[in-house]
Amino acid sequence: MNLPTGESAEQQRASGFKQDLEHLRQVPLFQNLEYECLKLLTMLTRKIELIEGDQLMVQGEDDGNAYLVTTGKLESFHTRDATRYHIQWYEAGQFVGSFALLGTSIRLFTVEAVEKSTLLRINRIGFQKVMQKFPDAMMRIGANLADEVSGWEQDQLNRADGGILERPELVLGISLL
Amino acid sequence: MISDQEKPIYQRSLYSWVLTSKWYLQLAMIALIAGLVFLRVLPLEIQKRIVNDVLALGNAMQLLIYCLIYLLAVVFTSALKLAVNGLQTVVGQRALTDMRKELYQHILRLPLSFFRKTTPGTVVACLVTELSASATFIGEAIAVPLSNILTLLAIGGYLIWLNPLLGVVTLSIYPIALFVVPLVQSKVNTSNKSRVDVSNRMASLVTETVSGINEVHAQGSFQSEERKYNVIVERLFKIRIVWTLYRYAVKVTNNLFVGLGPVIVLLLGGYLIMQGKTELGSIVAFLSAQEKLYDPWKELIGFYDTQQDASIRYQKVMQIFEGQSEFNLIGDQAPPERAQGRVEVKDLDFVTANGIKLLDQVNLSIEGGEHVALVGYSGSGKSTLAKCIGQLYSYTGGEVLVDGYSVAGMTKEEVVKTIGFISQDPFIFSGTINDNLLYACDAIADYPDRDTPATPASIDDKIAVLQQTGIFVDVLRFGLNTVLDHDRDRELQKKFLKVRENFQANFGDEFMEHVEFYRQDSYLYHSTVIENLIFGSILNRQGLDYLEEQPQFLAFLDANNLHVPLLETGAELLLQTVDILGTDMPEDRIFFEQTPVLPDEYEGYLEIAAQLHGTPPLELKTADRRLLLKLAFRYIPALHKIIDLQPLLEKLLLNGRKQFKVWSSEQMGVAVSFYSDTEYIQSQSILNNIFYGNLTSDSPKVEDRVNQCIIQLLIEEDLLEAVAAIGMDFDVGNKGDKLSGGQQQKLSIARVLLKKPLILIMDEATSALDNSSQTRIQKLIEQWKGSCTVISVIHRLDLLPSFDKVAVMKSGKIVEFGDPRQLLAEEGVLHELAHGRKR
Repeated sequence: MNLPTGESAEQQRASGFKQDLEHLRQVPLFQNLEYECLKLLTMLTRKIELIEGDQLMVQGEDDGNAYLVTTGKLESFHTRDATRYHIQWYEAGQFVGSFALLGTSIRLFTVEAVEKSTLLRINRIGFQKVMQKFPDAMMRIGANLADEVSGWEQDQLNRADGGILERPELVLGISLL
Repeated sequence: MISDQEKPIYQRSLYSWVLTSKWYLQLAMIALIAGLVFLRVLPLEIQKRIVNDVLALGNAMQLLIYCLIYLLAVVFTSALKLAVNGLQTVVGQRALTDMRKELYQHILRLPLSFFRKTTPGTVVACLVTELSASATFIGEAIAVPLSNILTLLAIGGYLIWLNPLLGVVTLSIYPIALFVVPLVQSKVNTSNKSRVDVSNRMASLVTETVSGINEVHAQGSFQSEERKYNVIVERLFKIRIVWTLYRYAVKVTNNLFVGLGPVIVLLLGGYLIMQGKTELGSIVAFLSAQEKLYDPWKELIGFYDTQQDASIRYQKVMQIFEGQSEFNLIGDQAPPERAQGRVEVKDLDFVTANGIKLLDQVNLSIEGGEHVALVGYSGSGKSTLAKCIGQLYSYTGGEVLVDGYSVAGMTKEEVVKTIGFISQDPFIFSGTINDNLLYACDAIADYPDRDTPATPASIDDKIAVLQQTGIFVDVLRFGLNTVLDHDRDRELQKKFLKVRENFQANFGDEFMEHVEFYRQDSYLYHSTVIENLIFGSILNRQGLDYLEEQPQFLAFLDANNLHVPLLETGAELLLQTVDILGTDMPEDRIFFEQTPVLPDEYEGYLEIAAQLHGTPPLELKTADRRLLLKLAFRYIPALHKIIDLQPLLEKLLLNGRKQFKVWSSEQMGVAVSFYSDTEYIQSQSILNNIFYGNLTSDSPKVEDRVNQCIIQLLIEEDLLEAVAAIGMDFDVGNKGDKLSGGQQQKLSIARVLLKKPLILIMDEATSALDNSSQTRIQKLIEQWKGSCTVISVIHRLDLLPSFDKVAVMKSGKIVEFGDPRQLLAEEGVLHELAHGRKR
């Protein structure tokens, strides 16, 4: 049997639509979206596979996509003066790059696969077309995004030691933008 | 004094086109008209003679001869009329073609500022629609008035000769009509002017909306666009009603006057017969003449309407295109060879038509081969300065000198041979990559060769610029994704088989995970169901299409237990698609990428889906069942993820694959080329032929590796140029929409680099490129220091170190100029631009 991508025959036959739909339902950004809207969004997602070293997004560029990691592990980092500064790890279930769905978003970080990974890709044009068809969904997504940003900042405050509060302009105040 | 023909087209009168039309055609027309007039009068005399002489004497032979003459006159009149109409058409259409050519030539040379205030819609409407009326007029301009006035005079003269009193009274109606009709016509003209204006506005609006349709969809502004359009359409409706009513009024007024003719003849003629002052034959001739007078009169009135309509449209069109080109295309002598590329800008001003000063006393001196960056805040005048140097804008004060010669005085030939200009928003024309690549070189080749003939770009030159700009791999990919013609390129196909062999031997194991190889006993998840079943391609003209309509093939499906599972798969695909997309989905390709249903078929499939809720697929009408089979045939499990591929169907298809080989060999008229690792697969792309399978990975690293391997293999077999040439024949679509933004920009850079300009002006030319592509092009340009002067408007200040100098612009002035490192170190405007304003 020809199994080029290393997947089982069952995996190759399986459409994955329901599974992808379930994955998207878990994404905080898409919480409480109408089921019909989520189905259409799933229809426009594309499964992509990366191998170690593949770059998902590149600092300074606008790739116009957001991604949901379904398997594997990725790293985000920032490069300055040829030095690479680690930012975060991404694993299954994490959603990366949502700002690109809202409009042009020049990436401030590079995200790179550190092992073989699979992701669901949502492209900006497709996302915006779905939002045109379900205008109320945009309000929900806006509210979800605001919750996420506030939650993240609250988390920073909860974890803050003296250092972060001494120079808060560096990392805090994003939810006031 | 300048003759009308020597004036610029917008100053020429409509009548001048009549004079420039072919004189021998006009002469032929006049000769035919003379014959026509004679033949129109002849029947009147015959009628009179038959009534007065033949009938009175009872001479049958005479009657026969007169009737024969009458018949011949009628036949020849029709023949001559047809010939005159034919000549009119030729003359009119020739004039229209000349007019369109000259006007288009004039429009292309108008200053860029003209196109900022005139929309493409107006230009299209003028060239295509509004000038057409001129053709009708020019065709008729000599024939219609001449033939009809002569006919009127001849018939009028004949009537007066027959009976002076009755003749004068009958003809007296026409002068009155001549006075009244123009009064009504003036109303027609006023409405017509408004109609032309509003039609042009409508064309502009439609063009603008269609050009910006992406924005309309993105913003969902359908209703507001419809509102704007509806206002204009309603206005046009009212104007056209008034215009049409006045046009009818002209006809009705004319008919009223002409209709009075027979009443006068009957009244006065009857009285004269009763008084014995005229004969019955004369009255018959008079009544017949009324009709014969009416025809030329009606044609004259119609011609008057045509002339007025054409004049108004012509004037309106020419008013729109008033203006002169700001440069000469070519000079009397060949342009002098520029060798240095030194650019001097002295006290340069640029003021817009509205009085806004975009450049204010700009001074700049660039040595030949020097590379200078223009930077500054938005609206500081960087692009305007670049365009003034490139002669795209005509500056209003000061001057720009290239090697000591003023740019304003240069011919366009001299400019394009010296300067290469790459703009921020590249425009890709419909056609192939090759057409676009050669665009600038072909333009130069069109100028007369007055010294050495231009050498056409070789394939090596083209490949070099494609590589330099970083689009070569894309072009190779276009070539590799091409399906070669069945009967052509046999030799090439053989060479690709050799590449396949080498690929399998050298890289087969490495790509095992990323390529789905064509294997007889394996299901191909990245291929369609029908490709899986046939495991090859049908060589008939229709290929795999319409197999679902062939009874023998359907019988084969039945025999192999495939018909029902395939119908059910088609039904499942359709129902799942409808469940996700709903019933009111717009025909937008993006929503249909992961279903085998095509956007333009969706409406038809919705009806079948509705039936499927109460009827099993097998009980549908034959035509609907075939449509479901078509969906199943197109199903690719790896792409159409909305359903699962049933294991049973997969097994049946693999079994059917074996049976199909036997079945097809027994069928007449079905020629199949089966996938074989020793034969070229006609239906597949070059790349799939090399792989003998489908690439399944999206990984950029895998793609890079594939590109490296394929290029290596193509070089080994000396096929790289051939594949690049096939790739260069890739059709880029309307405005290059089959290319990405980056590919479009790289192609627009490549086409300018191909002509090897002495001075290169780049107006944010790499802004749509990713960082690595920008760096690649910047490094390439750096190699030309000393040989090519570069003036580059840039946004990314990290590119500054590669320039010799930087000019920093603010509010239309150069506020800093010098070495970029030095200026960055100083705390001036460039420092502020790079690091932000100090708090």
